[in-house]
Amino acid sequence: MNRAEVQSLSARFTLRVDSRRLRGRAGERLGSGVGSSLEFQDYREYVPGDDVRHVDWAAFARRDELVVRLHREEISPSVEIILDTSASMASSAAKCERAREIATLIFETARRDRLRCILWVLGAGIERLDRSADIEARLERWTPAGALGIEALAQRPPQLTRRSIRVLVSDLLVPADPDIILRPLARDAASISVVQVLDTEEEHPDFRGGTRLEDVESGGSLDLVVSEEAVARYRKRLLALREAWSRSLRRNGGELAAINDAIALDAAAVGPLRDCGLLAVRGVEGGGS
Amino acid sequence: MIGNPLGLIALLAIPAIIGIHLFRRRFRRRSVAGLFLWASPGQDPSSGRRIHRLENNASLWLELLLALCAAIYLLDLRLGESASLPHEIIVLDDSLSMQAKSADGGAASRAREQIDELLREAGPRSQVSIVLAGSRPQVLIGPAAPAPTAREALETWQPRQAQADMPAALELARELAGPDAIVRVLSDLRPPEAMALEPRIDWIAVGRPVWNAALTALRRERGLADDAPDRIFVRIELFDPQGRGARPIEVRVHRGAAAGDPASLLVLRERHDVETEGGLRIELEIPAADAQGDLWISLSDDALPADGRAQLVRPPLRRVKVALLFAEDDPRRAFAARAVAAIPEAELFTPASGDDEPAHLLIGASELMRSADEAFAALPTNRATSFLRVGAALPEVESDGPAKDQTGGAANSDARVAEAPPLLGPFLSESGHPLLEGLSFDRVLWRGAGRLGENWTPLVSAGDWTLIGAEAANAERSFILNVALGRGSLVKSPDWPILVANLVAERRRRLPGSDRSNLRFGESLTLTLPATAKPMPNAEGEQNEAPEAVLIAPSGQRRELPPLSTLRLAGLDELGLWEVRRGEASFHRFAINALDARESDLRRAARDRRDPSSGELAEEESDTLVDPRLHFPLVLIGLFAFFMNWWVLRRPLARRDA
Repeated sequence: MNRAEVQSLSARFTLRVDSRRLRGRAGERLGSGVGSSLEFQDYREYVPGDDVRHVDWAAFARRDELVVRLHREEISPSVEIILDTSASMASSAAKCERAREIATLIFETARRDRLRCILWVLGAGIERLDRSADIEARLERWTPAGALGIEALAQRPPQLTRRSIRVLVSDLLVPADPDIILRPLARDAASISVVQVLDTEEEHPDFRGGTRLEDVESGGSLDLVVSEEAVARYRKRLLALREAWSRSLRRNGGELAAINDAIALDAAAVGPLRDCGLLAVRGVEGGGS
Repeated sequence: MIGNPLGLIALLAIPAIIGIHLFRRRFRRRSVAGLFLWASPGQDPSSGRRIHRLENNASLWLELLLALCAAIYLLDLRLGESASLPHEIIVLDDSLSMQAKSADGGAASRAREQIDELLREAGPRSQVSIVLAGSRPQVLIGPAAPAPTAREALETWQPRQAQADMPAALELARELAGPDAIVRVLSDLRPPEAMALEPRIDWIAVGRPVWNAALTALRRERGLADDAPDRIFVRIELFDPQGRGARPIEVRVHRGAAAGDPASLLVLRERHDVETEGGLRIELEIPAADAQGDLWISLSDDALPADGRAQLVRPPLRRVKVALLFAEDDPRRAFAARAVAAIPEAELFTPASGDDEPAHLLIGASELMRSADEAFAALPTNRATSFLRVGAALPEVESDGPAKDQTGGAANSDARVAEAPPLLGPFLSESGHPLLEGLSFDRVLWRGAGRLGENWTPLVSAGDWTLIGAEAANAERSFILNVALGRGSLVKSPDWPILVANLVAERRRRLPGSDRSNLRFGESLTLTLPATAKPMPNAEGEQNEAPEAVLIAPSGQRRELPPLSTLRLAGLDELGLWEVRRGEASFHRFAINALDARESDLRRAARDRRDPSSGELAEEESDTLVDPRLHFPLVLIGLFAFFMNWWVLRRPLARRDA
């Protein structure tokens, strides 16, 4: 992994967040709720129990009624990266590398944006990492080998943080309904993005002839004479799968970014990752706090 | 043990499977992440087949295991003791009474149906052994023959034996099947009391009590004169389960052939009322013209026609030729001649008659028969001739006067010149000697006995006087009557003709042939063969071999008879006409008829099955029903291999379908 390029990109980009949907612990970003920041938001009548420090005594003097000054909430929102480390992610080294780079870019960008980051690793099980050092170390030594794919998200949904920014990095090559997987993932999310990482050969198979296709995860095999027609059918199904994920994401307020190892990381950041609304150019677009 | 050799064909599946795997399509392996995107229903590889190195995979081994299990199953492979299939041991009553018919069929056909049902219950792979219970047990089917063979053999089976020896048949059945096997007995009768409690017998009675008239005794006597009629003595018995008083029975006698045969001629037909109790004894007289050959007697049809029919062979004429050797004026000649004349099957032999045959019996004065060379030269005799010497060769004395030699010759050197005092019977007799049968010598005054030498064995004696003796060296055919015939009362007593008749009968028994021509089943026949001369060279110098005697059974089976002068033929277990042949010539014919009231009495016939209710029987039966073969584990292994193979092959498909 080219860490320098990742660091450079994380400096150029920021995570695009919609503050209206953000929630989080008290932090540096304004949340959608009422908080105690210095930014004035509104007045309302005083009700017993309100903090008397927020009573606008000047207004009381003017209007002879107790009103409370409402300020914008200051929060520190979470970014949750759900990383598919099942065996299918290692179908080629380039695919594996690209997935790691994407995950690291999001992590580094979030850290640079001073966002709290949580990494969920799907593989041998569902593992949660919330300390930056652990996340960093894990992304450094990640070797996809587990049998647990993203379909596990539907069966065993992780306890995701409410109003968090959620990013799923996977190849999405599972014969499952995207809605079933996305529904628990999108619930109470501030935003959701899915980055599909594929190998070039997975997108455009270049082998032909009699082939025993062996699934890297299930161990199943299929004897097939791979012809142009078979490849065309495969491509059609792959695109249909991707389209199904896109539709499902749109229904849940998200977008899909499809990346393969032929696309350079910076091109991916500028292209699909930015197009799907996950990244924004720092200081130019409306990202950051 | 291989039960079904055709199952070997199933082993061909093994090379076939290997061949399939050798030609199985091989592809380059490629790992993919989304196999489900590749699979397409109906998509089939279209490239050709090439031989590849056999791949060691689970599917190959499971398919081979499955083929092996199927082959073993079809081979009906069995191991060790468990090699035995279900084995039905059946004892089938082969006696005549099984031929009995009733309104709902015959006992034999019911037995066939019952056996068929037993074999069906035992299963198509069952084996069967059938022992026929007759006078001697006989294996009809088996041991352990396939069930279809048994059915074929039973189609042609007809019960025909005169009686059934069930214990012997059961013993043979247990030898075939082992002592612990359950023997099924099919008979028209219920089990006898002795067998009723035996636990390993499943007794199935297939009879029906019906009325039946039967011949239970028969005898044919030949008319001695050429124009004399033959007489048949018949005993008919009626067995009626309803105990009715009498039934009209028709008795018919045919000649030429049995009734119903076109060659038969009806000789006599009589109708009699036969009582249930006591039966009926009748005497039939057959005119000489009709009595020249065999006769067939039959009763009117009833439930068991077989016991109402019999063949009667005409007994051969066997006259004993008796020669007398007395002085012309000797009164003893008259005594002897008178006694011989009273015996119907004896005739006086006179050399002048021109008969070349030697005399069978020579009765003569002792003093004339002292030396065989001297005395026998006068008359033709041979080694078979019997002798009776009369008198002790003592000088004949007048009542109280001095004794004088009756023949005027010298006194017999074997006898001492001493006369016993008058002796009054009865005397001490050797029990059971055929010569003395029926003799009592009661109040017989015996006079003129002399002392005999030690070469005479006493048959009748008084004190230390031997009155009738047998020559020690020739005890069967040389006797002495130690008496002065004219002086005592022997010739006036009934014992005298009886003694001569016994002598004639004894000699007659040793005539070639047999006294008996019509026997009841189970009787034996004593047969005397002609004395065989030593092979003598003929004119061409070749030796004439004595012809071998052969016994021919009604079924045509031939048995060579041993070269003995007297034979006792026993074990004649076939009903019908038997024949003894010497060379090409018929020597003696005789018939064996059933004549067994026990078989004819169908009142005891029953139809039921002895309830095998004893715990031991039920338990044993369940033991024998356990299928000892390998089918169960084979089926389990086969099913395991099948489903495992299905699972192994289905895994990629399942993934693909999903």
